Amino acid sequence: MSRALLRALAAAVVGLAVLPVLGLALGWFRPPGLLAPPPVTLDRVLPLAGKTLALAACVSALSLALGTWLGWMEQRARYRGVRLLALFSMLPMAVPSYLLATVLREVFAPGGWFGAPLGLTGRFTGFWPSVLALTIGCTPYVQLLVGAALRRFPEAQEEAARSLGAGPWRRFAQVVAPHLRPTWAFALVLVAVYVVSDFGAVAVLDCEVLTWALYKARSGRDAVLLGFGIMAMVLPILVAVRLVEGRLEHAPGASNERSGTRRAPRRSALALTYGLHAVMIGLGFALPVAALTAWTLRGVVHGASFVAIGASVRDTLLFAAAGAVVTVLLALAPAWSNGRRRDRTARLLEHGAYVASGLPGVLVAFGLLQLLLALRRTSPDLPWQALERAGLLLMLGYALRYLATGYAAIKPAVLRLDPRQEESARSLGAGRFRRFLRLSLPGLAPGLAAAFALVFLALLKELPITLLLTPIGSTTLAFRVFDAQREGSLPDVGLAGLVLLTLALGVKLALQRWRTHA
Amino acid sequence: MTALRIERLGHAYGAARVLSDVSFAVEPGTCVAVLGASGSGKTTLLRSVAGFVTPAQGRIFVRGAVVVEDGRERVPAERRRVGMVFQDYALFAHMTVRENVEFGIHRDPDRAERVRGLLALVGLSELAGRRPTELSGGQQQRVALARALAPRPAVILLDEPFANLDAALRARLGEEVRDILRAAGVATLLVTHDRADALSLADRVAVLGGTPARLLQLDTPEAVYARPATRAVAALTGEVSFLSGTARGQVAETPLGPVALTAAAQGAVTLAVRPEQLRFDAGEGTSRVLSRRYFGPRSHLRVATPAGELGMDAADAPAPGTAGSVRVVGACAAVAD
Repeated sequence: MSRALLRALAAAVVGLAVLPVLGLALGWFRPPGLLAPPPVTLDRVLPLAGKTLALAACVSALSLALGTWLGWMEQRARYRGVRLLALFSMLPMAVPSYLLATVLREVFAPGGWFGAPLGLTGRFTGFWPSVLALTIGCTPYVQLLVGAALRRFPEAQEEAARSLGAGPWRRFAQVVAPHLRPTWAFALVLVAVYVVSDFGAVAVLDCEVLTWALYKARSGRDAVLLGFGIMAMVLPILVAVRLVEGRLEHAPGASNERSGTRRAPRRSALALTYGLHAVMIGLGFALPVAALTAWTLRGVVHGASFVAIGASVRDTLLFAAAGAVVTVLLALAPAWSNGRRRDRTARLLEHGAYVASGLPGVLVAFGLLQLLLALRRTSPDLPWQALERAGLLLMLGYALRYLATGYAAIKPAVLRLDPRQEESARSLGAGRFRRFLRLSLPGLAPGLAAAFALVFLALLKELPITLLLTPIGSTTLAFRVFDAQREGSLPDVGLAGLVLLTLALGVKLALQRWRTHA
Repeated sequence: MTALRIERLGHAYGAARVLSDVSFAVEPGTCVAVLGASGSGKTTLLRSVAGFVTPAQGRIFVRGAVVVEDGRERVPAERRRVGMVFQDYALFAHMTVRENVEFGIHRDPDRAERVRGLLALVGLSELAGRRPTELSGGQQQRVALARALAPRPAVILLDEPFANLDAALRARLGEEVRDILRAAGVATLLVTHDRADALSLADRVAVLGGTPARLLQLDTPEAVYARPATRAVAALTGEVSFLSGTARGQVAETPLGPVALTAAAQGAVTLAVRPEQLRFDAGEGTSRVLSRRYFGPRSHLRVATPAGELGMDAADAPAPGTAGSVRVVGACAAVAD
């Protein structure tokens, strides 16, 4: 395949991201159905946007503070269990936000495990419960980023400051903090985009923000306006992520030098750290596992039927595997093209892939649905509905949402391919196909496998696209958890949630082991 | 008052003991170089003095005050008044040269004057507004030195200070640094594995060796080179060949003939002979040139002699295979094993 053709293909793949936006735009011109759509007013959208921003601000501030503290202690303090606690504090990342939100809602409900002793009377839903659920979910990401930045930061600079008489606060404020600033900025936008895009937690906890309102509106110009509202909020943040990430890659201090030595912390700091670990790991992982197990057992004791859980597992694995294959195949073109040629177009394509994948799942799914409806209106005789029934629309939604995940895993493998090997194969008479098959493919295989595993893991837990685009008659585990929690069927939430968690943790563990041994 | 005193210092990382029973002192205005092979505990010693490692045994005094004692830190690093110049300088990349130098004296009302004076001392007055990344390696080195000197420390520690510089620059900068430190009158502890740096810059050299590392010899550069106490010290301080012989007072009989001794001895001895003390006389003799490496003004020869294979310097360059005799000029030290 010629370079120009490959690049055109790469551009076409990245260009697919336009489809949901196009669908959204076409949705505006959709004729009203039997029921007249509600009036389109900014009065409805602006408070939702304000609440979304407030949620993002609260969660960002909290997870930045908590993640920085825990990251700092993990890298710089010496206390019992520090490594094990650092490992355990990543466990909440395996719990999908809708599952965590369901557990929190139920245990803090009046009469719940915590709600009863605390004497809570109202439903545990709305803004602050959402802040809690999302903060627990986001803090490990910040902790990881800050920990990595501190590991890269040369110990000698902190020691130099010590030898010049600077105490711990001055060392942190004047020497360490300036190096952490790009990391903080990156973490801030990452958390903000996560919160603005999140659907699961806000849906379960009934927090009136843009994504949840969009899902509830589903049709009409109001929904389109909400969709564009989300996009207006997310796109600047995504562009900011790209800019900050670029700076992060070039930040000084990245070195192989020895990182900071551990010192025994003060008692108060130690108590705070253990307390935070207890809350984050306890609420973020131990509590969901305990609650899901208890609900399942209660279901078993009361003779719940757990209808067709096997079919849900099959559908989950099938859709996740197929979605991962489609995503990896689509991501291969831009990754190959950009890995082989580093120029302005390559950078633009890369930014495009990342920004496109950053759009919230609910927006992607809604846009694709609107596009399908518009196509049906335009050419009613063509079998458009078959796209949805065959699951092709779902695959497209998955691929658009996780293109960047696949791309990020494949591109380093492309960069690692040694062009001299290919040149030597050419000089030995190997044609393009043979070179790809015998040299490039074996070299790319680990990257492709990693991309598949990462996308597969993400798709196992994915909710909004699954909810809106899954073919009628199929039910994934995520779908089932969401449905069951709305109907109040906790045993069903328990079993589906436990199976989902086990699958996610299993894949994550396998990926971790494979990376360690690779 | 002694600027730095180290008493019976010992340390281990887990089960691995790295330092044992090291004692010496550094007087104000003088420089002691700690010389040792990689892994000989030099860096542990330096970091113990700085306060970044708490040694398990022994005591360290800075200007007479104990700062660490048998595994207990008495004075933390930030209050020890011990300045340090790191191997890679560890300059704060986000600060200017002026801000770097000012960092340790931010509460000093006369800091502006002090920074000006120090930058003038290290010859960087013109570059005060630059960031470290805009400076050459030698300039960064001088900023690090000025920064360490700014709080008027009792002791300055130099950790392999010239390791990142090319040969020409390290020779020039080495002299500059020595002059600056002497002008400042500060006690200096220099850690290096480079014997040329140790011998040329220090007033005294402390040679570390063994497992765990012990102080093998502490003496002037001339003494550790010309009169090494042990084989290890002789090898660490320069290229050396060893000759077996029998000492009778000031002279020892060796397979190369009688050799003068630096100190009277009796009985079987091992002599440390430097390459420049050996002469090869082409012509009759039982020795033969095995190989020759040409360095311009001199050549280095490997010669098979009745005393075994020896390395020596020669002004002329006899070809491999040339026969002749080898003799020793000057006095040699008898070394312990």
